[in-house]
Amino acid sequence: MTIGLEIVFLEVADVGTGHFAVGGAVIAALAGFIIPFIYARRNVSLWGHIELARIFDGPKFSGGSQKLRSKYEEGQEVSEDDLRLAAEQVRSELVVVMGMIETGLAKKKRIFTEHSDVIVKTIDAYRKYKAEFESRLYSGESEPVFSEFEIAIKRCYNTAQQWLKEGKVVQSVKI
Amino acid sequence: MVNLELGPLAPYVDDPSTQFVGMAIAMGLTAFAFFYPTYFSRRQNMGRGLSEAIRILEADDSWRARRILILKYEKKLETNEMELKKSAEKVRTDLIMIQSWIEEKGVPRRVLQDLYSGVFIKMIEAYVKYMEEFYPAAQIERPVRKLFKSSNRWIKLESRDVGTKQFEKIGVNLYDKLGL
Repeated sequence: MTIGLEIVFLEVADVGTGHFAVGGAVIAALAGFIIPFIYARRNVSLWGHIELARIFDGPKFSGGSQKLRSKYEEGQEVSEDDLRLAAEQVRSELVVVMGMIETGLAKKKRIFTEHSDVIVKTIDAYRKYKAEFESRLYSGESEPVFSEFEIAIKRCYNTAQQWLKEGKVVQSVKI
Repeated sequence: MVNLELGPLAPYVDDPSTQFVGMAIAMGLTAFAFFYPTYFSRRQNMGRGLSEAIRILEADDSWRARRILILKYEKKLETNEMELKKSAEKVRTDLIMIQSWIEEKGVPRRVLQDLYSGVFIKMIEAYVKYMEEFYPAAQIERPVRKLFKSSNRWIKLESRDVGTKQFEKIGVNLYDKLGL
């Protein structure tokens, strides 16, 4: 690009072909700024969405969600240790998702369009887990299910519910 | 006379004595073109750092430790001294780790503060109470004080979340205690 600009300067100075110089400058700008910008940005958002797919379909969130829901939706027997691990996985992955939205690495629209129903069901099960086990762990003290410690999860839950209410969630494909 | 075709670049091109300025501008633009995309890889790295930080903070041991410490000083939980000590250690480690990541630009500070500023304030409040009870002569670590300062500032001036406003009062009380 340096060579390109040199040519632009020299040509304009010596030969006086102004229009050609402007064209050259535009091409140089395209090559030097816009193309790397497009590819770098695309690469980052691609990475973000690969991460997102790994979160929602991966063993941590998906496995944790299934365990919590099988216990609280289907009434299956799951050990307390498994539930504790599942709660940890679900909680951390959901906060990561909220962090990715705020960093701009993942698009809010894509996440809530595709996953709002799972998010709401999972957090409902997580709340039930906390109501059942956490109060017992703290010497029988009952505490609010959503305390101030879980601002991000609360935000995630409210947004997902809002999207469900507004009917923005993508419907599953029926074959 | 101003050369209308060249505009503001005219003196850098026409006058040989200032042509080096033109070259400097060209080189600057070239460097910018090369390094501008690194902004995105930096953001990607920060995203990785953020995920890592969140997974550590939300892991069962960290989560439980901060809840034990906070609930103890809110008088909602009876716990033995050993457990309290372990919790305080874990909370301190987490706070210092987070502050060091913020200083090293390993995490996006604004995002982390938006997600956790209230939690940090509660953690620091409980940790200060623990230190006052068991180590009254000790001074609170510098990274912890710095993290408190930035979290408090975030809540007072930058937070858009109504839920975090409740931490302002805690912040006012802690400000003097930490000697800030």
